[in-house]
Amino acid sequence: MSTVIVQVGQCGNQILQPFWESVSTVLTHQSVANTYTTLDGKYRSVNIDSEGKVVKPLLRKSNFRDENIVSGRRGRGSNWAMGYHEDINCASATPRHSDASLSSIAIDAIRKEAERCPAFSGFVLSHSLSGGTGSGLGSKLLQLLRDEFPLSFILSVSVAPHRAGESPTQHYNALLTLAALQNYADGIILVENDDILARTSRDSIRRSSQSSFYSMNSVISQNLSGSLFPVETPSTRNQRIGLEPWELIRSTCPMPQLKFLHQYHVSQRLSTWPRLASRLAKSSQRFDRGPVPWSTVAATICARGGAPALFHSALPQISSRSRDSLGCVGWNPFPVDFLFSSRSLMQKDISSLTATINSSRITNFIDDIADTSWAQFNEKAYLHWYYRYGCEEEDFHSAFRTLGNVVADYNEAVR
Amino acid sequence: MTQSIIVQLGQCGNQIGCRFWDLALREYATINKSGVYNDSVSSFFRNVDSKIGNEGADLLVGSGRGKIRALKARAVLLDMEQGVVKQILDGPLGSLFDDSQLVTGVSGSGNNWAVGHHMYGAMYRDSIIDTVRRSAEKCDCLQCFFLLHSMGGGTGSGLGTMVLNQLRDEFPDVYRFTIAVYPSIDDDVITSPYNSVLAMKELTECADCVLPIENQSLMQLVKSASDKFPKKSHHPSSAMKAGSSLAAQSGSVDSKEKPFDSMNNIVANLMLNMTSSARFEGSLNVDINEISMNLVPFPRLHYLTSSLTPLYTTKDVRAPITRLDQIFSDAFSPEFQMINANPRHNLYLACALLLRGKVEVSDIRRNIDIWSSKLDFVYWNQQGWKTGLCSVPPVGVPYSLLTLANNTCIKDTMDNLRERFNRLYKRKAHIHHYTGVDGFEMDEFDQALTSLSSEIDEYRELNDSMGKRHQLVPRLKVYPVTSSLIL
Repeated sequence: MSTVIVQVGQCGNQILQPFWESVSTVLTHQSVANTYTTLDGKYRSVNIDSEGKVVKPLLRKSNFRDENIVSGRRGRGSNWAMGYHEDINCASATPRHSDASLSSIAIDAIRKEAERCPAFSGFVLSHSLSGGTGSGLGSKLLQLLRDEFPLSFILSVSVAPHRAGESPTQHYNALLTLAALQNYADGIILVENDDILARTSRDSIRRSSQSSFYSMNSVISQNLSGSLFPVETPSTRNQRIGLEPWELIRSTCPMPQLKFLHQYHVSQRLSTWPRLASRLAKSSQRFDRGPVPWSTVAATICARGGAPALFHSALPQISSRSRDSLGCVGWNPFPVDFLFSSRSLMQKDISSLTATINSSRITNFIDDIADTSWAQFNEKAYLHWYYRYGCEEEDFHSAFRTLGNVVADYNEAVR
Repeated sequence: MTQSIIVQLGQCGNQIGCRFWDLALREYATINKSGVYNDSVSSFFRNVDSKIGNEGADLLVGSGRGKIRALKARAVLLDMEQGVVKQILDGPLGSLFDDSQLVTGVSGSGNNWAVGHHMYGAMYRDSIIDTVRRSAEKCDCLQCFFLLHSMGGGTGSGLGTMVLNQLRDEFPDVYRFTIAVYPSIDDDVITSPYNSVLAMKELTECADCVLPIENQSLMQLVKSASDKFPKKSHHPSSAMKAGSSLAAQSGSVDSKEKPFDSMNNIVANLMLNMTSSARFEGSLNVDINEISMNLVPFPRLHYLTSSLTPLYTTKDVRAPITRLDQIFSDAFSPEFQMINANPRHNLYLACALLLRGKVEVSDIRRNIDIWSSKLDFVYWNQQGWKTGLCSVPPVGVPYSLLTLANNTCIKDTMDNLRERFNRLYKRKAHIHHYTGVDGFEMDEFDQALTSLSSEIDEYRELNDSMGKRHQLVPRLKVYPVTSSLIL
């Protein structure tokens, strides 16, 4: 009842489709129904895109509220500047349909949805880093939301493109968006397409060599539902007001400058908690190219499915094992938080662990993006497209500085 | 969704345009079986109800469930002689065009760029811009102009570049894509090098994106496609299996095949595939403006080499369905390119892979990984791929790939053109035809030559950087960072 989920751009809308499906199938459990749906059964979701192909089909679906579907007319051309500045009018002789107010229409829809929440506390923003709408319009909305709702949290789910190219402008777009996220968001869950693809090919039951976008989106949605669906901690159990996203941010982001998170998920039928915990430890990557082991600033692990007593008796063991395997920093007295829910995400006898980890793994990712963008920036490649739609050189310089500081802060924190 | 207007100029442009409309109708007939007028159809066609008012009025898309009454193409047909346009209007596609969409002259341009650009340009400039404006006003949200013309003639290259200029002035925010057919070496028009080079200068300055096509390469493609089938009769056009994407026959409006039709069909298919991701749904949408945004790193270097695979359909019984990996290797081989160049030996600045049909993301990733290692990309754009996936396949094939690449191999084509130009210009052959035209200045030749030469130099410079890494000032020296944490 307290979180509005805002999806921007094609990627942002598509990755959460399996998430909403599982909200529906778990609808029989009251707590999830009220957390992510309103009393009349509609999802607490706002779907925004700069053109209609992805969001307009949602208009016919009964669980999405029609007035929360916001679409423009023409795409943002995988250009962050176009998405952010929106200084374009439809160049017909009579410009009667212009997209200039797409962000204000979106903010109106979001505000109304927030007013429908009985105990509103914040947003989850899902988007991609590399496109035009998700990155540019997403950054704009991030800023506007921060201005309008200064006390609410913003948790972003940001999808990073494949390293080996989804679009030549992805580096600039990611650079500028990451800088905006660092400045305005409270927690940033980074989803890397390469990891998700590797994960789907590993998990593929049919062992076919093909992975589809739907299977990738299912993995992403599973990570999110594993960490954001209701849990039974003392603070939330009776109230059920859906503060899980806030709990997540609170425990994984102890310092305001360190807010990049990665997610991992393991599930198994009829397993014991210690076995599951060691599987989780193996699946969460620990080394960068050094090979230097990453250090974890803080982590939250959500356990689902099983008897409470069994979990609590296993808790001390898996807690200390996780702390060791994650390489936690010394200055954080409570680095790993465990949350529990007896209800499983899928079938009855499947237990799962979803870990959200704030670690220095992000430094590699940011360095790669900054280096590739720097090489292009030096050659002035593609820059005329950004300047044409309203960006300036200073935007790039300040983005480089911001990201450089993020890396420096992480290196300092795990020293 | 946005609309595009096709501007077809001259004999070549109008003939390609004619094939385009035919294939577009066939594609929509296959996909849109219920005949509703939706956003997708509206990107190229207007829906006219002739019973409303005197001349009939346009029906808007609205809820996207209204039936199609009569479709009119969003096109402007320009030609300085009447033969080709009259043939189109008299043919089965004639009902797609209103009289208000045509501007025709009578005596042709005599294969003279100056006549097309200056003489007819001055005479017809107002009526042309009125015609275009009328079409533009009927669009809800106009995004792009597609100009189709040849470079070697007079009308297409001369008048075409004048129109390009005008469009840039009147509609600065609307993208201008030019699909230009370059003359082959054995072209029968002697002055085609002059016309092409003079037109190139305008294309470099005014167009957002140019797709050069060479007749010779198209002929090669048609020949290699037809070589795969045993000939049924001696008539070359019946060697093409009916229903294949090269033949216009069954399932399409115009069933009499003319000599250049197979070649023009390839270009028409290229246009359909390029816009498919903007018109139909898919997992990775690529709008038309994204193509130029991602493939044009520097404003003047906007010439894209293209290749379209496969070129057959499943109705070709003897040809097996091409495997996806084979489609990718064909796309990068010189036999499938639409200009006479070998991109594999040159440097890629960026490359777009526009896929249609049932293709999985892991297939795409695998092929990108394979080809990243085989192709040379410029050092600052090592992963310069733009991927698009549209879920609607083209008519008759399960999947297809259109590759648009910004590759330095285009410098060879341009160099060739410059050679042929110089051979004539050194002797000042045929110059008097051009200087005699009112408005044509002698130094236009020199300016055009300079523009072409600098273009070639820019591409050559980039090509020479192949394999070298430039010395960059490392980023962290420019942005010294200090941590803001106090622990």
